[in-house]
Amino acid sequence: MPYLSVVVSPGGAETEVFRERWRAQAERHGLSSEVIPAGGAGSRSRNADIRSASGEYLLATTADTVFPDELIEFLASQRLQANRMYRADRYDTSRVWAREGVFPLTPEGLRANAAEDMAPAGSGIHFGSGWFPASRLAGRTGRFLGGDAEVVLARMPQPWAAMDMEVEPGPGVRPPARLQVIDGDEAVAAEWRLERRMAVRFWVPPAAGGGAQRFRLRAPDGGRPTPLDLHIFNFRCLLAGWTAPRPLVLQPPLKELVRDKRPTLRRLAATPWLLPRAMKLLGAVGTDVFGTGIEYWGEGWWYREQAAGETFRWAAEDAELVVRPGAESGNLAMLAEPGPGVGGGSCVLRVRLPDGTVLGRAEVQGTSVVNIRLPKFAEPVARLFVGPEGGAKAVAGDARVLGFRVFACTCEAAAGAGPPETVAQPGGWISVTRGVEPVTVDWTEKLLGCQDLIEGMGKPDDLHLHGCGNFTLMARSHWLDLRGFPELDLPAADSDALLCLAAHHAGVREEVLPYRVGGAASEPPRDPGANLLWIGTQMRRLGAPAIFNLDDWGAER
Amino acid sequence: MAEPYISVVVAARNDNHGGNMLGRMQAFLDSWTVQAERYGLPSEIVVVEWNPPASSPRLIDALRRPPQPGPCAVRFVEVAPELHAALPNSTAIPLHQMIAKNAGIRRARGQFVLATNIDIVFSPELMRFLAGRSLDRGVLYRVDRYDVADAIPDAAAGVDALLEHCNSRLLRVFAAEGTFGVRDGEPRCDEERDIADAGIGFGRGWNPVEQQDDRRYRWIASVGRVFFERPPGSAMTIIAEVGPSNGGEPLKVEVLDASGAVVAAALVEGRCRLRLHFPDSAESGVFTLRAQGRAVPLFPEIRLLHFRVHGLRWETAAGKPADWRLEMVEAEPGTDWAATLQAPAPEAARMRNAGWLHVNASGDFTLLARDAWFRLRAYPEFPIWPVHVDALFCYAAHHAGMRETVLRDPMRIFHIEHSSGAGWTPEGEQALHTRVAELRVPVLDFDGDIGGWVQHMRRLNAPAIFNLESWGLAGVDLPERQG
Repeated sequence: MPYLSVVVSPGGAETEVFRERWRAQAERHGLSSEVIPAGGAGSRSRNADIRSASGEYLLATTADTVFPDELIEFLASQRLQANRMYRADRYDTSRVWAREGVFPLTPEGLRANAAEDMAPAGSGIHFGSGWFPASRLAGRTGRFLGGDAEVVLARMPQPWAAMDMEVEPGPGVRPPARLQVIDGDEAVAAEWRLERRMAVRFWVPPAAGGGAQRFRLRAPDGGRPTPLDLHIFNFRCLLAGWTAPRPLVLQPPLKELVRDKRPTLRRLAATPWLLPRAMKLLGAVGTDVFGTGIEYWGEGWWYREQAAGETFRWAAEDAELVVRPGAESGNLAMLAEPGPGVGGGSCVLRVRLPDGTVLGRAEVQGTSVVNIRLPKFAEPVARLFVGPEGGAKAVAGDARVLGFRVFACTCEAAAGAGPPETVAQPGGWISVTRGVEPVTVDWTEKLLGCQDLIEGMGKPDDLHLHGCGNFTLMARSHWLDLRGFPELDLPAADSDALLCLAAHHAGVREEVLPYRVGGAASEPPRDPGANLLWIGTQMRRLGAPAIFNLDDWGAER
Repeated sequence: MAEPYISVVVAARNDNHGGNMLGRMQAFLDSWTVQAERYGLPSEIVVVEWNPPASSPRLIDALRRPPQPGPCAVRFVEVAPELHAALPNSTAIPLHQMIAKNAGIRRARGQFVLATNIDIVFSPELMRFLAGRSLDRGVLYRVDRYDVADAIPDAAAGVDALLEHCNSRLLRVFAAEGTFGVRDGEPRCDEERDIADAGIGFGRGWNPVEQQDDRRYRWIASVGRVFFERPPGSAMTIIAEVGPSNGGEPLKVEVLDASGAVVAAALVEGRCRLRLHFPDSAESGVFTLRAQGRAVPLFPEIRLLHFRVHGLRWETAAGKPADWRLEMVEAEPGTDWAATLQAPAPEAARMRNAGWLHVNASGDFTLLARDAWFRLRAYPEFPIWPVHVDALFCYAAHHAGMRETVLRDPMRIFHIEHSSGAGWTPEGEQALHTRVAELRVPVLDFDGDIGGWVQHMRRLNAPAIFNLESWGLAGVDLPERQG
């Protein structure tokens, strides 16, 4: 009895070529097998041959499929497991037929972005397994992500470059739901809870060994199915791109600076010795109050205000900053003054890491130039919180907590030697939430009438149903138990997918082999038909396979 | 003992489900075994005792067995609580009825297998027919179920007293078209809402009264019997409409007399008014309207709807016709069915074998050849509340090529009424619904789930089978005792 029977459709001369190629490879690797050319491409023809096969395992494939030697070697090692259904991605000349869809490939073998995609062309950002093809919904282009969705960064603008993403819950989660960034060490590098559409930013470290950096987005609360599709759509990403580093602020001519900033400079009338440093600071910021070395300001900062010729921002307490101080230790410099929330007059500003580690303090009396020496960080960027020690309180007349006011803020390399210790960032990557907006599609509302059905399906697996006819391999006993391919008046791709769904719901676990099975270029699959969708949904709900053949399957009628 | 011709499979546990469970089950056993002996029917009863309660005796010990073996063996197959506990929803559902029946079907030895329930009594005419051994291997047999009052005579009174009780204490009939209150079998009238004048009654083939806006009507798929007591000199006006299953074509409507002969016919279309003339001699009796329709399947409706009648009225006949005559008096364009829940199915042309089956209470009587049960791998073994699973199986049998035959009166089964909420009755529907909802177990919905599968079986021209080769606990050695 051969270890493997290979049922090849369609028959004819092409099959003979396949048989010769297979025979040579099988001999080379010592694979015990038989090749059975199917009498035709239809399910009934294939089934007739499946019934006649004698191998312990049975692979249904097509004559135009080419198997890499590594796969034949794996098969020859007889390590297939009886309770598995083996599938493989199919690669034709320029595309891959993966679980999530059919994708064109870049010359480097990465999944190429679509002409209209959520990442700009040429960004070097590619979307691997777990990402579904770009689609347009509610006027926005985006991609759904299912299980662990791999992001491959073929190029980064700089080490620890900042990436912006815009993500919203999909039908696969019940908001609020966690979205995690998983780094190459399987560690959770960042995490958000998404209730609505969220704009997030994270700073990506370079790959440990050089080359492309990879990370994955994970939805630990996801996995809920929808009756609208057999795939699981946990989140929808509407944007993924590098955010440009803050442009260098050109120091304006002294005359213009004095003219433009005169109202603020007047505040230093009592401390004229601070004027040069204040002017340097004010000259280092643009139209906002942040300048060189400040990459992000988030929670705790009130909006920018312009009044009486001055530009400033109020901050409450623990105002968030992401700084890039340079190669060595940095200096966080601010032109600031205490606010009514601390009683005016004076306060001590404290800088801390997210884990509470205090990096430095500085006293602020009236309008002051504040310099806080930062340690050298393990990474080029750091997420900090700055605020009055002892907190701040709301005062009458303003709903906001006004702890301190900042006219200029920069972070530059500190002159002279830095502190001896290097401080590591807590919690891995640096990530922030930039904003929250209404969702483009409210799936909870859209699927309101289907909640019982969705609950009834539990959290099913998202099977690889593309190109099933090219590679479906399982124990022959399963083929017999499932009565082969459904002999139905359906497109072949749908019949093949139905078999895989039935096998899965019969308890045969899918495993996608990591080999590149080649095939001739052909039309990409169309969307699954309504019949496949409904039947697949029912199989999920009933937890049972749906078989459409009687015991005369594969027989002449 | 001769090889059984029929195996009768039931599933139970001694938990007094529905009240007086042992009394009802004894009636079931006696009615079959005594009549099997009376009519010479070699058979066996396979009782699958599922998850027997520790606190109650086994059924084999609790039931009185026939005094002598006769041509019917009674086998008790036990499925232990441990096997039950391994299945989903085992706490909420102590008896997975369909899986239990499958265990019995798997072990049945008869050429034919009847899946039924423990509170069913079989009419003598039905038993005589079965004993005739003329069952067809290609047929799915069904029969109407008649519910009878639960105050059955004591077992000691004998089977004839039981049958007398059943025939005289009818409550309702579960027919193909619906569930009807019944006094003497037919007519099946809705006293409050019906659509006919006095002296006109509706029999087999008529669907229950439906209402859309302020208009009431009854559908027929193919035939509908009409009982009449005609006022002298009158004709009958039939206010009707051709249904969506005729695909927009004119419909040939025939009138059959009591002997089944076609006595009149007319081609009708749209919304119409027909007039049926009677011969003078036909003062009372029964006739049948037969719609020779195209059987176009609908969506999402799964019934085949050829002809609906809004009213049957008596009118004074003009002239004196010597014989039956049906004429279309007037017609106007009918309903645009495309915009309704009874629209022609989008893929109707591909549905070569759309049938509308008698699946009302089919769990009480589904009879087909043993090998057909095996080909179909028996009932879907969903570990859920078992309602409608039997219907799904019947449709799978149909789409596997089996022909449905509904055995006609006086062949019938009687179902002994049980407590409200234990099984479906019109009065106990809400209680049952509440009970299932409280159990929080999955349940199939007829319109959405069964209707959906029927549509797909029609479209794919194939049965939907949900079991693997191991159905019916195939690999499990179940202890068995002979009663």
